Amino acid sequence: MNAVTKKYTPIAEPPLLQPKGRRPVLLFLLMVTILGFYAHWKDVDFLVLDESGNVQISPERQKELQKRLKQVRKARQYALLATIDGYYPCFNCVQDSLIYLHRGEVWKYGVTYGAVRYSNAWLSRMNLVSQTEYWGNIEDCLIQEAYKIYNYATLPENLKRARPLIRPPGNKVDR
Amino acid sequence: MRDPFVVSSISWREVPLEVAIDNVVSIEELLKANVRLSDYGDIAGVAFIYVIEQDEDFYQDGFSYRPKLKEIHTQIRLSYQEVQKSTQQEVLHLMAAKYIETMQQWLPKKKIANFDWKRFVNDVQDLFERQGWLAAVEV
Repeated sequence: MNAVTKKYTPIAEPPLLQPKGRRPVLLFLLMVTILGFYAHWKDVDFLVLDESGNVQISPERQKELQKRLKQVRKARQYALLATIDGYYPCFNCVQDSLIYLHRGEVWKYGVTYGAVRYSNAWLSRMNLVSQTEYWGNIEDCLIQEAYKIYNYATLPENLKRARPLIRPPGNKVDR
Repeated sequence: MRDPFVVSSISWREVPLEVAIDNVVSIEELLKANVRLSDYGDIAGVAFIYVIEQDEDFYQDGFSYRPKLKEIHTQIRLSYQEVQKSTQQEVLHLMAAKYIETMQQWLPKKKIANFDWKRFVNDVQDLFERQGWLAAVEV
């Protein structure tokens, strides 16, 4: 009996491996719960933890980011042109706040991006139309816009003025 | 809104100014000279912007009513290809037809209080017909 006992020593009960294996999972769940409470408390539900426990932006924010990236890759550089001969606001006239423009002359250059609805409040406020001059990603459109704003000074419609403008009448700054 | 009726355009650079500017001015001037919005109820302005772009999904169609201002704002696309193969007069006809079509389509849905939209649309349609702008054009 003793020999058998010695030969076949009883298998020790497995150490408490199971709880050890669960520990990371429990820790992870605890962190998620804490982060969840924290997010709720601090109103930061735009953050989530991934499977490795790293902080990430939420799927909703990720979706918004993709949408935003898609938008900025699809931009328009436009010119706002006078539809009738008459006085228009001027942000660059030294002494006057109005300037006389002829039909088709440039009032402003701008850039817009994303699918646009009612993009231009100016169109319903003033006698203007919008002419799209270039389309592409936003960086290219901004380059086009800058080129046109700076070179506006050399346009014949500007040079014929007694006092040429540094930039189009409707552009307050060089961007 | 600068006037009771505002008509404007957003167009690709290859659309001639005769279409992008002169046509919209013609429509606006005609409406301003012949239609008094107050005759149809409590509404202050109607803005209509034609979109004639190569990339047709950039500017989306829209029709909105702003109750505080009592203004209608509309932005509607015209086919760039159709405009390109039409004369200035033909495009004017397309624009007039689109104006009526848009009003007929959207105004019943908006249910604007104190605004007799049916009479308004009929009168504008009559006005355009008298100008010969709703005559069919082949494009």
